[in-house]
Amino acid sequence: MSSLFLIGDSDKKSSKSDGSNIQNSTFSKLLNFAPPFCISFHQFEVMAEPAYTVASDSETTGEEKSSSAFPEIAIGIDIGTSQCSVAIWNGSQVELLRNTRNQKLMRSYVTFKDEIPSGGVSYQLSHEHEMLSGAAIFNMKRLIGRVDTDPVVHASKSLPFLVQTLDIGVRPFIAALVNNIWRSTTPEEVLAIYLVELRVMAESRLKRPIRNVVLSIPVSFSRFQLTRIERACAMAGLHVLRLMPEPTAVALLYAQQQQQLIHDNMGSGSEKIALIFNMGAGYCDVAVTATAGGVSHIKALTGSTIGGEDFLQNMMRHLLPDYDNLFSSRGVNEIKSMGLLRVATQDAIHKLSFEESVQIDVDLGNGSRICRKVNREEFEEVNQKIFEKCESLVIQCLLDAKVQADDLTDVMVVGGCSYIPKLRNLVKSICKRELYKGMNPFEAAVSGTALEGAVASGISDPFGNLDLLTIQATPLGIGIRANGNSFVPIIPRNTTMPARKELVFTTVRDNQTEVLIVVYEGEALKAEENHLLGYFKITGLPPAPKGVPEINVCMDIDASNVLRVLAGVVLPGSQQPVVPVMEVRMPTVDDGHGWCAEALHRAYGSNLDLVTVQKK
Amino acid sequence: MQGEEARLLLGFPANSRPTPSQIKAAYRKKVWESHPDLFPLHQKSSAESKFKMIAEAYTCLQSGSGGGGSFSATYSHVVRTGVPKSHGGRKSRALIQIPFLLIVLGTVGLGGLNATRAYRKQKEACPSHNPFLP
Repeated sequence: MSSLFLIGDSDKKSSKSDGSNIQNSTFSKLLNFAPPFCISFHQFEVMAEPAYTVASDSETTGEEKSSSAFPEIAIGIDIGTSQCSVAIWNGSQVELLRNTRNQKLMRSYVTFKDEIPSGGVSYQLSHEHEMLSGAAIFNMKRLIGRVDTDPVVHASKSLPFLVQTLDIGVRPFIAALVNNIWRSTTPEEVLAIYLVELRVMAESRLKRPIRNVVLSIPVSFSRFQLTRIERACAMAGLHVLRLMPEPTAVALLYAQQQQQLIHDNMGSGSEKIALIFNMGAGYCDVAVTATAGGVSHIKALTGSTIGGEDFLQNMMRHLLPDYDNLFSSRGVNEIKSMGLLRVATQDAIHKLSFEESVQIDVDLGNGSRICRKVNREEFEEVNQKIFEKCESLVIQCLLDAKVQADDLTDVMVVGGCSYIPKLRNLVKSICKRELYKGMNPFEAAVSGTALEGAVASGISDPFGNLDLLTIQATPLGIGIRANGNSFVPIIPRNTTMPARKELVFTTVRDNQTEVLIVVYEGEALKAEENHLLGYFKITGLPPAPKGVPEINVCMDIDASNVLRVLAGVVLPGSQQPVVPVMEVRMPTVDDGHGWCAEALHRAYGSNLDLVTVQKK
Repeated sequence: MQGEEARLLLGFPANSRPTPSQIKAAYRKKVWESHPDLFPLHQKSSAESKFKMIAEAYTCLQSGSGGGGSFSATYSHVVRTGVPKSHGGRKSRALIQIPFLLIVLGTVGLGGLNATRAYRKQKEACPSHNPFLP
């Protein structure tokens, strides 16, 4: 890089004498120098990160050529907080791929025990406790794209590896214990290592290179978190064709099943409204979909970061009240006993789904021993708050979709927590309906992503099994900070995607020459309680009294779910924009965006503020 | 978006009054013709802009308002309640009032009936000679 700059500099100096000639030579030199530069850059990347395969440009073009001749079917991946699975449309139906140990569902973790990290796809755990020895990182889906002020990160401190926070809005410090040394890592890196293993597994099963994937994601993920997922996929050499909220993948599977019923002359072609409740280890999502003729129209989405992990942590604190004190230091012994308690509690929770009470007997190794009986009522009481939150998510989703419980045709409960009796009863009682029995709760989401992978790759099925379409909705509102410190949504939640909406703002001060557009995503009324996506300034506003310039902010989500924000300024009386329209692709923020909003606010105060204009 | 424009986009005559189910059917048909997922890469952007118009037309007709300026109304609503109920909020509020009205009327009516019956019974049980009572 430095050599390039030097050449440019020397040429600039000499170009003072004769202009055009030298410019030409600069250009040719640049051209000459560009290819070696590119190659060295790739080499550098490969050297720096030996664990990932970096797809070079030449490789990409080759693959694209072949894909035009034979449409390559994208695989569907469900990266769960605790388990992952991969599926593909095999020409007639969805097939889940099995790993070398014949598992369809694989544990999501990466262990750094040896020189080369290995993940749960190929690695054989000698014992459950090995995963909890401190050398393995898991629950990465809960940690990805979160800053250290996030309560979810704080809750993750009780996991048997190192999660440290400084509470200033930067990346948390995450590390695995390898030979008594903390090896730091990031959730993206862990996910990338895992995805490489998944890719290798799928490639060996399908005997062809895999490049395109459809991934399922939680509803509550911000667009910043989505970029982190895309980053991890890029590190693993995968191209993200689509990121689908988990319940919408289930909705697509439901739409396909309904289509098949019609083909078999068993179902009616009328519109069916279904509610999907999906709760896994990390997240709980709800969706309401209207299905007719293979089109699944998502009417509303709600989601929250609650899941099996919270059940587990509540139970562990219930069984061992001074849990946090005992494990505040992270020695090998603490991590070991923490792991023992975790396994015992997890087993107990699983058993409580089918039995009324369960006996826990675990020796924590540090002199304390837990030996007691736990019954189902106790479990439900300890986790009362989580069940209430689930209830409110379902009710909110029905409300947002403007659907009554009586309008529902089918109700589905899927995901890792779907066998908890209290959850099933809760959804049943709100929706006043028995649960749909036509799908495997653990495989529904991944099957849906595989269907979407086939549809998005342009595959058609002679029997019409792939005449499907999902009309997605925005899971979170997107808007800007205006009217003081409030959040003004421009694209509201549950808007049909792709979408384009605009809103007019104006200045708050006389002769204001700059305005700051800070883009947020979320539902909170206060701007800084939402996820910051990015910011930019519009400069060069002509001097005018406050309230006169019309600042038009437009947001556009395209077919590949890319968000662009456009801002233009118009003075009344003229139709021409007074400054060039700014178009910015969001999110623009990188790490450490937690402090960013606060710093912006401190530095600029209300100098660059905006207010909304009420249309007459 | 004006109702007229929206109806044209969904393939209705400009001054017609389609029913909600007709609107839904027309929308679904148009979705198959314009959703960007169903188009190859080079046609995606034109399909996308067409789909955006159709989606907007559908929301416009569904809300029944048909007129413009619906968005600013949405916004003021957001500020007050914090929950964006994009359209039809006012209509449902009127609908919500109906059961309450029924309850009030029912209480008054039944109460009144009960009171007159009790009064009549009382009068039969101990007839009074007060000339001022009915």
